[in-house]
Formats: sequence, structure tokens, C-alpha cells
Amino acid sequence: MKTFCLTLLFVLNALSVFSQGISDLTLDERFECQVKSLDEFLARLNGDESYPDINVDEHSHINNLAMLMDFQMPHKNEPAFKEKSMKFFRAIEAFPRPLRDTDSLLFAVTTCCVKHLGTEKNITLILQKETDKQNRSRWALVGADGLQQCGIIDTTKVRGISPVEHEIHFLEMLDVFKFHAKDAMAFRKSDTHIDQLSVFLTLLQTGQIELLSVDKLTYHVLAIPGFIFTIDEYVRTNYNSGWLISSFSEMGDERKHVYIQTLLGK
Amino acid sequence: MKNFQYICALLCFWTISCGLTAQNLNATLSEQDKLEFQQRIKDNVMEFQGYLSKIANDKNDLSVRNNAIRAALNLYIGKGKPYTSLDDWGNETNHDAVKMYTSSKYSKRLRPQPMSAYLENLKALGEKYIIRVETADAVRVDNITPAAGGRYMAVAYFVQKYYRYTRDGQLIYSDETTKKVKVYIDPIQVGDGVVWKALLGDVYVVSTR
Repeated sequence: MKTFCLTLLFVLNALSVFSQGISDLTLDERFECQVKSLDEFLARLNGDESYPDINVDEHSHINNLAMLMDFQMPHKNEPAFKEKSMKFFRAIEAFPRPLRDTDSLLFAVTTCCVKHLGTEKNITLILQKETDKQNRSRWALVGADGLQQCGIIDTTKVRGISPVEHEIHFLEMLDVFKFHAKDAMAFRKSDTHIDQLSVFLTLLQTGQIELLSVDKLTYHVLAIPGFIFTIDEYVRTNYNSGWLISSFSEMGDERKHVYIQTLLGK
Repeated sequence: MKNFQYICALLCFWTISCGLTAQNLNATLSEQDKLEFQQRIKDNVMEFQGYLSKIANDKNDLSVRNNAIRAALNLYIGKGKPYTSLDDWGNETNHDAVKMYTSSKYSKRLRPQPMSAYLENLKALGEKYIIRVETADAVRVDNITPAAGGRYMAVAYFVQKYYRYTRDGQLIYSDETTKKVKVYIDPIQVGDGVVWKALLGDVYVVSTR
């Protein structure tokens, strides 16, 4: 146990040393070290593959998990960080099944540039992988966010339909929807939630929005009991590069539920 | 009675033939197949990288460089032209010509360009500068996934270093890119068996400098 902790402490301390930049490894060495794909990340996380030069022993899984961390993560030198890391690694070790990209608690969050009414804007689209009974798999949209922030929709405005309109069968709707269609969101009841994904898909279908580029991709993983973590891609010339754990924090199931709702723009 | 037996025999033969053909074209993937895929994909990737050097080297005749562009495009699905693919639900999906995505330290936005335009630009650059392309030996192949019509999809990862020099040998630019290329692997019936043909798809590039 002591030897193992020393190993881990060495590795975690090495984060600050190596993040400052060491002499470049060869192209082949860098390629071997780099976590090139989500597939490779999950293989190392699940203990199916190993970072080069990690000895196969009872600590190799934990050591591999340590090498999946972004060495430039904030607060890494704090004692509390090291304790929290160990707890996180133990939780992954104890996870009863391999983590797959089809896990229902793994989300791909993309930051996208779209063109709407001639203007480029940034929104977020969230996807999950889905497998059906015939074992066909695909990525599918589960949420959209940022439409309010970039002005595609305005959920703050309120417009009225006359309080007596019920007596004339709501004929005013013909006028207000015709002349104030741009304020469409304003006609809903205050506590009626706008589903941003439905808005995005409708705008896409009617040709009012065009996807120009996918600028960033982050995976959010909530499958590990008691923890959530994110995976981002780091483009570096040292051996801490590729898809790495960019953040992790303790989180119980209730808060995870809220986190998911926020992530999905709900 | 004799005619009836003859017809039955014909029907049986036809049924078995169809079954054999269908079975071969719907061949499930063995570990050996996966290894063959990986090798085929690596070969295609290395072949493409070889063409890049040929295209960028203006010491080669123009005809050699143009042939290299054509040969490089033949490695790609659609041969560098718009193409269609079928998804698992039987929907035909239209695609623009295969794209090369590039990134730059000056812009976070990835810009795609058709592969044919990328190769022509490389040829033009080779006329102004000395271009050197170096590729790591290793190619990783991941995500081998069955797709519609007996096809498989995969993603290949490799690293390339790119150097650009002035005509008098001064290094003016270099970068290291991890390239991720989508791969389509199709079964082709050959006699009683199946061979696999790999075609490259869109290329996503993450650049460092």
C-alpha cells in the first residue's frame, strides 16, 4: 500500500514537472502515449489497455487512471486534490462494468457555430449514443442550449392575448401571430418551458438555421457513482495529450439529475 | 415425375447458391478480419501520405504530381466527388465530397475544404516552397463498427509532421498534426469468399505548432 501511494504521489507530483514541458519525445513515442480517441480513453479507463511503460502489477490500473488526468488541472498540488483523486480512482476501480460510449450517463456536448438570420452564433448541441434491439447504434441529439443567450429565442418577453378573447373564440391569435411572429415565445404561459432542442430542430427543418462548424467537443460522464467528470482533447507535444480528464467532482444522484437537466438546456 | 424432380433439384441448387452468396456478403467479423482491416487501413493511410510527399515535391514532373493527386483521391470514398451512403435504417444519405478539415493556432474554427482542393493547394505550395512530410510509423484503428449492407466503419489515427522551407532551405513553418480519418470497409465477393476493401472518408486534423 505504501509503495503504491508513493507511486501515485510521484505520478501526481510529476504532473507539475512534466506540464512545464520536457524535451520532445519522438513522433512515435508521442503517438503511443497520446490518448487519440474516446475509444482508447475508455480502454485505458477500463483497464483493457495501458499507458506505455506502466508495469503490469496491482497498481497499474490506478496508475493508468492517473495518466488519464490533464496534468495542468487547477489545484493539483493541493493535498485535498490528491485525496479526492484517490477517492475518484477507487470509485472507477469499483465500477462493476466497463464504461462504454453507449452508457446512458455519457453525453457528448458540442459547441457549434450556426448561421441564423444571416448572423453567426454559438449554441450547444448535446448527443448520446443509442443502440436499438437490432444492435444498430447511432449518435442522436438529446438537447440544445444557448439559443436564449445568443438571441435566437427570447424567453423573457411576455405578450398578451386579450383576457376576454375566449368569448370570441380567440380570434386575436390570427392577428398577433401574423404581426408578432418574431415574439412567438412570448405568447406562452410564464411557467411553460421552452424545449430548445425542438426549437433548434424546427429551425433546421425550415431552413432558418444552418450549422457551420463544430468548434469544441467535451464528454460529460456521470456514470461513476458519487462522481462526475469531463473529458476534453488536449493538443500538446508532450506525452500528456489527447483525450484527458479535464475536471472531476463529487456529486450525488440528486444533484446529477439537476446537472443533466441543466446540461440538456431544460 | 422426372420433370418435377428436375425442377426441385434446380430450386434446391438456386436456394443454396443464394444462401452461400448472402452468407458471404453478410460475413460477420472475425478477429482475423479485424486484423486484416487494420492492416488494410494502415496501408491506405501510408499510401496517401506517400502521395502527399510526391504531390508537394516540385522536382517531380507535373504529370507525376497530377497522377499522384488522382491516385490519392482514388483512396477516398466517392474518389473525391459527392457520394451517398446508406444508414442502418435504410436511409440514403447525401454527402459532399470528402473533406480535409484543418485547424490553425490563429483560429479555433475548423475549416473544411474538399480533398481535391486540399491536394491542389499542396501542389501549388510545393511550387513555391520546399515541403517535407514525416509520418509516424504507427496507425491506430478504432471503433470498428458494423454498418448497413455488410459495410464496416472505423476511424484511423496517425501523426504527421509538416515542414515548409524557403527555396534556400530556411524553415519558415512546421506543425505536428494528429489526423483522424473515417474509414469505410466494404465486402467484395470473390469466388466463394469475401475480400475487404477500405476507402478513406473525411479527415479531421488537430494541429499543434
